[in-house]
Amino acid sequence: MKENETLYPVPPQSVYVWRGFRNPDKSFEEFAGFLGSVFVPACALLQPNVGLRAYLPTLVPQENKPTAIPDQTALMFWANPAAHNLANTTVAVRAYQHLHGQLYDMSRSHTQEVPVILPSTFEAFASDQPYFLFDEEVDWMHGNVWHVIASRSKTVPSAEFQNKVFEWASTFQVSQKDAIDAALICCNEETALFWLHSTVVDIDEKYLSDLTDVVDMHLQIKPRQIDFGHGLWDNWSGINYSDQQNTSLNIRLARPKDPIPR
Amino acid sequence: MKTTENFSVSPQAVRVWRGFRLPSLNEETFFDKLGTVFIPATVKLQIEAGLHSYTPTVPAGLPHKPPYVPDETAILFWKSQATYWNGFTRLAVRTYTLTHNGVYVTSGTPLSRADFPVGFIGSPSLEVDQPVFLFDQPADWMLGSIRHLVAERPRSLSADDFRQQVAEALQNIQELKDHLQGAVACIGDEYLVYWELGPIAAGVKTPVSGLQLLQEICSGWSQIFRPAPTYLPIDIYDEWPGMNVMAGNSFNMQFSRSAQFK
Repeated sequence: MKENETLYPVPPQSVYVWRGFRNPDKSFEEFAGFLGSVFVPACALLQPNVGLRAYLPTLVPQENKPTAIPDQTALMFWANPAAHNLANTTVAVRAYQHLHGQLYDMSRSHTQEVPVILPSTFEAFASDQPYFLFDEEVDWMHGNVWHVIASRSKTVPSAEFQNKVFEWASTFQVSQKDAIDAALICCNEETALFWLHSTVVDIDEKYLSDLTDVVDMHLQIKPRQIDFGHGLWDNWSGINYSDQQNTSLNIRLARPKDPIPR
Repeated sequence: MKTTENFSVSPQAVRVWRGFRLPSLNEETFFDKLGTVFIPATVKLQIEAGLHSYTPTVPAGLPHKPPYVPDETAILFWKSQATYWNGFTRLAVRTYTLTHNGVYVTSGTPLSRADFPVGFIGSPSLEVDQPVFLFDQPADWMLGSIRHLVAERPRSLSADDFRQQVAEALQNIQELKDHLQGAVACIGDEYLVYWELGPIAAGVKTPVSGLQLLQEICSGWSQIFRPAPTYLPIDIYDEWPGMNVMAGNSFNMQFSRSAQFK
């Protein structure tokens, strides 16, 4: 088995769920240009050596995008729940982290990123808190992934929206546990984000069809597997985000067996 | 390759940095960012792109330093000017460069900036924010002994008189060509920065220097620095808290140059 084919499953508490809103000082073209030429490649190349295990960034299409929907989403899975903070003890990751403030509106983007298990009652369901539905270790760099970005349907009152998403998730947790091995949701008064993972079925829109009356779908997409084929010091301009193939990616990382900082 | 191997490069190949701290960052945070990210990342992310030497100095925090005098200065020698520009085709260099925006004033006044020098050929060639080199001969600034002057324009002198007097002093320093291996200067509307490179002369208390000629003009705030050879025994993926940077520190970073210097 090639090194890149080795599976490195991680617990669901090891993911950082990023919802990034563009700094209003930057045009979307500048935002996409920076993401493609620096941010996304830097995340994928600077961090696997210190624990990044999977990285799935999505640049959200702007046409008819409600303002409450983020401009970028990303899942960053780490080797274990402590690895993210440990990685920050290295120059590589500190340099990467310093990029964020200029590109994003951090007052909107810096929300809770680490998920917890979906609660059993809606009373404990918090806005903007990511939740995982299945407590299993999964390698998100491999397998089938489906990502959905949606907003509240105008037919659903704001006060009921999160309750309906919660009910859907609670049902899904039971009904799909044989087909789906990992699922993440994040919801607030106006938006709902979903990521599903399976190693046994090819996920598509039918897995969220029960939500049709609750949300307006903005993006439903299978992140494209991509191998950059370039290193930090190679001549390489980065990702071209004007190419729609790159809207959502599941980047093939060069993952060492033992990625903890030395 | 050992750090002590001599690889001389043209005086045209130096990037002369004058950085001003963002007012929103307090000095303590600024020093922390210099020591944990900027200074180590400058070296570790750019060696492979052709960085030849790096000498940062931190006037920030020194008593009575006027705000219009740079908070950080640096000379960064590259294999050539083309090597520097070609660096931006590499992700590591783009990443490093973009980290600056959240720390330094990159728009407005006083403006942080870096420039390549031109040869100094008397007063007409000394222009504000245009660095000059005094000796058109290759040198290796990572080796040898560097002396660095940072000074404000005396309040008693107009900007033009200051420039005229500094130009005369630089002409006189050019007469020291048998004693100095290199010299670089840059005048701003409000300040002067000057570096000279001499041989390491053990036991010599007062080496031949151009500093005194400039100090005679700079009757206001000024400071002389002697960059300390400093080696960072770490990799970008090592667990490492960073350098302890304080007001008045000056470093001549020691590192093994990339294979392109062989």
